[in-house]
Amino acid sequence: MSEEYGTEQLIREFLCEAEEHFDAIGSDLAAIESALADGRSPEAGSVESVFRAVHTLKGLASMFAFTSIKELAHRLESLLDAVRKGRTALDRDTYDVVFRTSRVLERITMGVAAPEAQHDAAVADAVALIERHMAANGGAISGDAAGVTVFSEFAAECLARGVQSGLRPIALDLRWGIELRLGGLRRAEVESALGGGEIVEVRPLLDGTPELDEIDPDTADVTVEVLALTDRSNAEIGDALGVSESRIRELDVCAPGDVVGDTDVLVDGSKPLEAGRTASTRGVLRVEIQRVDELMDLAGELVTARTRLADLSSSLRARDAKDETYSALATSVKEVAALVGALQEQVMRLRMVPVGTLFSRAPRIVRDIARTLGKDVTVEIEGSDTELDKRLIEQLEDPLLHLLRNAVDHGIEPAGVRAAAGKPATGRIRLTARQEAGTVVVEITDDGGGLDSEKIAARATQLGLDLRQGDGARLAEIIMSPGFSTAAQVTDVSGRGVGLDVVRKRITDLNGVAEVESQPGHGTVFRLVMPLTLAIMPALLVRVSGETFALPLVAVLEVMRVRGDDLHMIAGTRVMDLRGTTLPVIALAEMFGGDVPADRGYVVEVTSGSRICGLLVDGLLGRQEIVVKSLDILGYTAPGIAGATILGDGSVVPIIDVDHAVGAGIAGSREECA
Amino acid sequence: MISDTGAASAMDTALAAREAAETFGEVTQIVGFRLDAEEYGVPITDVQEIIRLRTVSITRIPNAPRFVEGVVNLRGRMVPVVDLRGRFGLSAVEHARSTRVVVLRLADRTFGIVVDEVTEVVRVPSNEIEMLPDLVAGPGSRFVTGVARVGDRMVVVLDLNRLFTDEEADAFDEIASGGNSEDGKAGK
Repeated sequence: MSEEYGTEQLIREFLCEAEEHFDAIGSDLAAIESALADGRSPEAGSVESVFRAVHTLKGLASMFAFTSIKELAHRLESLLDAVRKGRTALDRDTYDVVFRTSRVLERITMGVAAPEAQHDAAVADAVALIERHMAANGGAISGDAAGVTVFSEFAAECLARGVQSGLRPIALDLRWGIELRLGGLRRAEVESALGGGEIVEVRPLLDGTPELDEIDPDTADVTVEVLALTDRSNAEIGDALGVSESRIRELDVCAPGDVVGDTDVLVDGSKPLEAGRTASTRGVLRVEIQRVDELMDLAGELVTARTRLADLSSSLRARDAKDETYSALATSVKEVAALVGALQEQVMRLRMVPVGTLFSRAPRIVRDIARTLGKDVTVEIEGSDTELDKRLIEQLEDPLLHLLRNAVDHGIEPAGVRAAAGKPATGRIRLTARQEAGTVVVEITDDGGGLDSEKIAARATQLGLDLRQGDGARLAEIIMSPGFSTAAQVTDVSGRGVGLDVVRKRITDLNGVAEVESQPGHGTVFRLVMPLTLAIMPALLVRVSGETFALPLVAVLEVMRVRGDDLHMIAGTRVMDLRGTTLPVIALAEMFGGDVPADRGYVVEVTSGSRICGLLVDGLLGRQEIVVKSLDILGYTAPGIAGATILGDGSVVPIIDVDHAVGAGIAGSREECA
Repeated sequence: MISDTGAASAMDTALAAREAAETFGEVTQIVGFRLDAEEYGVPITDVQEIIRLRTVSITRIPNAPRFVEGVVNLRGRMVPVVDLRGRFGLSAVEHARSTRVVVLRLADRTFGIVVDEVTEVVRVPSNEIEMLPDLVAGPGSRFVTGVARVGDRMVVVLDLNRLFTDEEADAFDEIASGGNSEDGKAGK
C-alpha cells in the first residue's frame, strides 16, 4: 500500500514518529510490568500514556491508509481504553495481551515497506486475542475509541479560543464526497451551516485517505472529521448539510492555559497527561542525521582551517612580532579558534542521545524470549541516561538484541537446574551503560551457568578450531569466531541468523571492542566498549619507522617500554613475557612491509574480542581525539589500515586496524602451535 | 576558407583544417607534464587542480596497492596519489622543486598523480592526435590515447581511466615486481 499513497519521505517521517511512540510504549510497559511483578498496582499515568501513543499511531496509520496497522491499533486502543476507565482490570493476563499485541503492532508498523499480506496472519491473531480477552472481561470493541478525539495543538488552541468567545466546539463526521467538495465548492456551504463559527481542521478518519485524483466521489467510502466551532445546534447543522445529527458531537476542550503537550492533545474529560512527558517533547526539532553529519564534516574542516590560520599567524610573528596588525590578527585568530572548538563540540552533542531509547526495549524482548523458552527472567537496567552517538545506537540495536537472546537462551539455566545450584528460580539479566574515559561501556550480564566449556569444546573440535582446555579467554574467542554459528546450537531462539561473530564484527566496525567474561556457575558478561561517537575517537598516536599511526584507544590495554632482550622469537613469532604469560608481539614495522625495528621501543598491549597481543612500535606520541575519515584508495583496501584521520597540523595519519593486527598475531602463534 | 584559386599550399590546407577544427570545437586542451625526459598530457577536462608538493605532504599508506604512493590532505579531504613513475616503469626519484601533484577527477574518482614538472597547456586539434604504433608496448602504453605533435615536440596523451581496471592494476603490479628491465618510455 505504501507505494500507492505516500511518498518515500512521508513514510520515513511516519516511521520516525512511530518509532518514538513505540519507544515510549516500551518504557511504559516496562514500568507497568515491574509494578505488576512487585505486586503493586501500575501507575495510571503509564496506562494513559500507552493509550495515547497507540491512539496517535492509529491516527498516523489511517493517514497513510495502512489498514492492518490501523485495525490492530484500534483494537489495542479499545482494550487500553477499557483498562484506563476501570472496566477491565490490569492484571497479568491483560498486561500479557497488551504486551504481545503491541509487539505485533510494532513489528508490522516498522515493517510497513513489506507487503501487508505478510502481516495478515499475525494481525488476525492479535486482533482475535484482544477480542477474546475483552469479551471475557466485560469489554467490547467500540466503533471508535470511546469518543476520544486527539487533535493538534493548533486545533486545540483555536477551539479553546473559540470556546472563550462563546462558540461550541464540535466534531463533524462527513463522507468523502462532501469533503472532496469541501476543498473547493462546498467548504463555504459547511462554513455557512456553522453559522458564526468556522472550520478549524479537516482530517481523514479511520477509513484511509486515497489520493485525491484516485478517488471516485460517487462510490468512495471515506470519512473525514471536521473540527469546527459553531453557534448553532447540532440539529441545525445537520439540517443545513443534510447529514444525520448523530454524526455531530460536541468536543470537550480545555481553556488555552490548560493545553498540554505540543503535538497531540487528549480531550475527553479525562485528566491531563503527565506534565513530565509532554514537557520533554516541547521545543524538540527533528532533523535528519545526514544533515548533522554534513555539519559535522564542515566543523571538522573548520578545525583544520583554523590550525592553518594559526600557523600562518605565527609565521607572520616570526617576521615582525611588533606589527600592530599582527597582534590584532593573533587576537582574532585566538577568538576564532575558541569559537570553532565550541562549534565542533556543540555539533557533536547534536548527535548524542540517551541509550535509554535502546534499553527500554530490553525488558519486553527478554520477556518474550523467556516465555517462549518457559523461563522466568527479569531485567535490570542501569545507566539509561548515558549518551552516545545516534548512529551508534542504531548500529547497536542488532548486537544488543542478539546478546539478550543469547543470555536468555544460553545464559540463564532452566528453573530446575537453577534450583539444584541453589539459585533463585528467576534468572537475572543486567543491562548497564556507562561512560569511561571517552568510551561507552555496555554490559550484558546474566547470572546463568557461564560458558559451557564442554559444549563449546565439542563444537570447536567439530569445526576444527584449536582449543586449549580451561582457557576462558580462548573459549570466549572461539564463541565469537566466524565458524561458530549459534545456528547449530540447541534452540532456535538464538539461531536467527546472527552469530556472535557478527556481533563482534559490528562492534569492531564501530571502532569498538567486544569482550566476554565467564565464571562457570555464576554467569557471563558480554562487554561492548565503544567510542562515544563514530565521528570522533580517542586514539593513541604512535611512531613506526618514522611514520605516525593512530591506534584506537578502546583497544589499548597497556603500554610497556621494552628492550631487545625482552622479546624472544619462538618459531618465527615474536613473544614477550608479560607477568608470567606469553604475549605474542607483532612488529608493526614488519606488518607494514618495513624493516624490523631497532632493539628498543614500546609494546602496546591491545585486545580484539578476547584475543590479546602486543604491537611493537618505535615511539609514543600521546593521546588525541581524532576525526575518523574513511580512506579511499581508488577502491582498494590496505590490510591492517582501518581508515585515516587528519590531525590539527593538516597531516594525514592512518588508523591501525587492530582486529587485523591481532588476527595476524594469533594466526602466527597458532602456526607455532601446530 | 579554401582559396578560390584552387592552388593553396599544403601549409594553407593544414592551417585551414586546424582552424576548422577549432571553429567546430574539435580541439582538445591538454595539460602537459614531464616524467623524466618524456612529455605527457591529460585532457584539461580531467584536471581539477595542480598542487605543489611544498604545500602538502604525501602520507604513505602501508599495505596499499603498489601504485598508490599515499594520500594527501586537500582542504580537509583525503585524496589518494598514484605513483605514475612506478606505473610507467620509471625509477623513483626524489621530489624536487618542480614536482607537482596533478589532481584529476575521472569517473567520480578524485586522485592525484605525481609528475616531475607541469609544462604547459596546449591546444591540439583532436584529429591530430595520432594513434600509437603497435610496436610501442611499454608498461605505460596501455594508458596511452595517442601522440600529439606540438611544434617539434611530441606529447603522449594519456587516458588514465584505464588505471583502475582491476586486471590491469594486477597485471601492472606483476610487471613492476618483475623488475624494470623493459624500457617503459612509451612513445619512443
